Amino acid sequence: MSRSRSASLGPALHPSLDPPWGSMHASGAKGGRIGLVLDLASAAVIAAVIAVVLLTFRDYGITWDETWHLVYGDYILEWFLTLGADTSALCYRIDFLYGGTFDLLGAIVRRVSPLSGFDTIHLFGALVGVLGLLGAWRLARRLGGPFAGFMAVTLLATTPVYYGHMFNNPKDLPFAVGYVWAIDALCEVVLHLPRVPRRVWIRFAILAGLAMGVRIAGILLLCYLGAIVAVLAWQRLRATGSLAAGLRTVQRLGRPAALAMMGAWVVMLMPWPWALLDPLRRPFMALGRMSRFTIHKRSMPFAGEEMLTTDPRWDYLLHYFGLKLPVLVLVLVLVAVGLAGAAWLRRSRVPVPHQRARAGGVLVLAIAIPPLYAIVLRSVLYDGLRHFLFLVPVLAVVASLGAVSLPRVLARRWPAAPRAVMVTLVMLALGASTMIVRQVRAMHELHPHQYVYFNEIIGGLPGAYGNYDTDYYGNSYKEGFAALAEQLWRTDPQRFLDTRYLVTGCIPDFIAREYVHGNFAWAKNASEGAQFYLGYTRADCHLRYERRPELLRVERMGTMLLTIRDLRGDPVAEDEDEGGEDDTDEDEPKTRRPRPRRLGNARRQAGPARETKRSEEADEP
Amino acid sequence: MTKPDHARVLDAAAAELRSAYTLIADPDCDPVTAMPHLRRAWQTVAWLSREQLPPDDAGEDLSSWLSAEHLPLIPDKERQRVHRTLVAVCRHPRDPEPWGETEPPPTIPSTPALVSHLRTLGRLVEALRLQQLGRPPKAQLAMRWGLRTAAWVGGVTAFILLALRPWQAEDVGSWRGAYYPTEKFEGRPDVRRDVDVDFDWEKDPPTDSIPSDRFGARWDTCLVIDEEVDAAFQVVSDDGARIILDGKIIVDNWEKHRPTAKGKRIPLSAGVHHLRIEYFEFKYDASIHVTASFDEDEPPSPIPSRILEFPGMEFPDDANPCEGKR
Repeated sequence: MSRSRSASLGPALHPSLDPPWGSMHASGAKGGRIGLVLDLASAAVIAAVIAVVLLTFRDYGITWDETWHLVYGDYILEWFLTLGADTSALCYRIDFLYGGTFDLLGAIVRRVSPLSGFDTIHLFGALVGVLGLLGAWRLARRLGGPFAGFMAVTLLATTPVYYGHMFNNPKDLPFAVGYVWAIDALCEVVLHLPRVPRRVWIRFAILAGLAMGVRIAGILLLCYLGAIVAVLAWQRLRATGSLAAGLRTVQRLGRPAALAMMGAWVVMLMPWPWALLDPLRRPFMALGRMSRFTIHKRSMPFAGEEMLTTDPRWDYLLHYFGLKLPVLVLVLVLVAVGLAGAAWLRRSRVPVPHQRARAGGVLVLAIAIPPLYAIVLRSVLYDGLRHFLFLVPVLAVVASLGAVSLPRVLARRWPAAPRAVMVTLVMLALGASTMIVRQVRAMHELHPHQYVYFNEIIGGLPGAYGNYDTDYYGNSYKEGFAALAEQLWRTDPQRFLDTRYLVTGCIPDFIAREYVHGNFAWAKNASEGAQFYLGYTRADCHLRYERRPELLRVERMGTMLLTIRDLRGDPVAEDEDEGGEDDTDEDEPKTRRPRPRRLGNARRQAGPARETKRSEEADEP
Repeated sequence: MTKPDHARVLDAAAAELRSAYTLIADPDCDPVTAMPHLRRAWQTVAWLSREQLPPDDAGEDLSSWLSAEHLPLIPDKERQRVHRTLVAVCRHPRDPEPWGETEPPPTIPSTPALVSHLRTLGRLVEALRLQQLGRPPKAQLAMRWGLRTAAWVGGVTAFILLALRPWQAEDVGSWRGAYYPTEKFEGRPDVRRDVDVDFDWEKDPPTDSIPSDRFGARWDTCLVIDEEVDAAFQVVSDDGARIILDGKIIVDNWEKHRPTAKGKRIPLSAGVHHLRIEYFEFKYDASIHVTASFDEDEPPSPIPSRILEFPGMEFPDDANPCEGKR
């Protein structure tokens, strides 16, 4: 079934606008073949990502939130298996405020998997991430055709912050995947207006429910739907001047939309025991609690200064999106926004916009509302753009639409100079390809810590060091423990065989115990006789025991992610001991030092002492 | 008048059908506004089928619109109904004056009937498209069918594997573990298969019928070495443990102690070796971790199961169960 249309008849009709009996495009076989080639290329990109995932998923470490969510998933499963008798899932830390879509599925997968628990969840999470690539492809293809689909999947697969989180982020990444699929479903709804088939409503309900079942913030999707109905009614009212016509639109669209919202609510509740027991009130209680998440109060580096997580600058997200997304994605997003703005200005006199303009409006809502909400409500922000990871796939789709629109606009703008346009386009394509290749190289260089990527605007990871959060999730510890064992083995194998080493670090006990095997054992504090200390850069952990010699470093692009210090020699006194766990979890370090800042290559002391707060609930929203 | 090419006519048909559908589907629009589009859609179909435009009215039957070759594309029982709708469409004025008619407007079929009519017309256009432009490329069809087949085969395979879960069967593990109620290996042991010798019982017993203190355990496996290698074996235990290779003690840490590591590097010839681990627990916490390295650059890690072979459940204590393997 071909999707294109001859150029003489104006812009291509979009598949989603096809009436229910299927595509009608005459479409020449030529256009169909190009589309097929592009679809095959997209499939090849996804296949390549799956292959890399299968080869590398064991390389990734355990991040701070993983263990909690693994346990929570088990509790949810037990709640269902015991028909509610096991109530652990109802009061487990603050995890009960999260829906269980991903956690429950993860628990089921772990029960049937031949791999270990963490290997299983890393592979499962990565495959869910691949579903996100597929979602971005689908959305971009729906709105811009096969080339947009190909660009979206390529851009997203080469966005390190997304790829790096695929393996060990049990909430932000699954939510990002659910969000892009739900936005796709919402666009499908919009493209089917004025009469939306039932299957499209059902699809939206399921996908929105799944997204909300990972994070309650997905409730925004229902708000978008409500906003669309309201806008359509307003447009009808303006076009006809009749209030009755506007109300008819609300009545006509409002009923199926309300049913879809209810369906999404039910899907969200299904894997969420705590909310199931009070389905109308508790999701809103969770939303309220998450919106005022202040228990994680601490300072963090931001633009070379220290900043409190509870009092972020208004441009926090702007910085992180501007510095952590690949430059190519940023440029293409700007192109897309510019072209869409120009088109909107041209069509501003048309009372009822074209369906595609409405779909564009959905994308604008999807991208603009969450950051605006965070800025206006001064939400707690930390860990780079981790909490806003769900915008990344949609931004990749917008970038792909920019890539598709640019050639069309150039060709339309300079019809008399097709050769010049062609040369320009070839140059741009070469430039884009080069940038994508550079991205892949950077991701290879950073492996398996892709999420610490920073783009060329700030000088890459070295430029961001000290100025922004880099390894905020503790992925580098796995490599650190392995490197320590290898180093000790290489230095003196016989001593290695006859020695049991005690290790401590700035890492929660329950994660450290996953890394210490055989002749390595975990000590909560260095004063308990630990011989080695591992500390990453968050919370100044790398500055502890500075007087002790540095044995090893985990580095990428010449930038330290984690240091390993040798505590052998003089025993560590209790007053030198600064605590053995990271501040993200229950045991807060007892003292803090001023944080060194590094702007460019200059290293200097600055910044206020960090404000800390002990937290019983260490989970992060 | 120059004849348009088929692709252009097909595109026009698609556009007219889409316009008709949009107007019929929108409850705020009067379906009558879709009539001109429906009529034009039928005209394009007629041109594609008979290479000439149809008469001004609907004609006697559908043969005025479709050639004998294409008429069978509409099932016999539907033809009359389709033609009735077509008559209604053709009776509608081409350019109606918006402020009303002097005569009562022609009857318009119901919305469901119009949607059904559109479906028929859509199938017709699709069939004509395939006829005029050929089927989609073979590669596209092959990919579509390949994907469907792969999805079904993959789904069924995954379902069967998940239902059976052969990797979670109780009889897996390359080690035969024998757990004795005394640290001197006396009494009747609990025998089972273990995946690895990597236990941290703390103060718990290893099995239901074995005490948590003063017990012994013995693990046997066959180590398959393809080529001569310098190997390193290590045991970290609380309390005593020893590693016995082909009947010779290579690592001896057979005394009461807190968790302690002991290991040795030895050359290992190619072939099958009987590897035995013996362990006793005296009091308090109990743990044992056995690791090995078969590459001098790699520190010891749990022995991979691919180089181990299960020796069997029943054999005398002093026998070599690996004799004759491979």
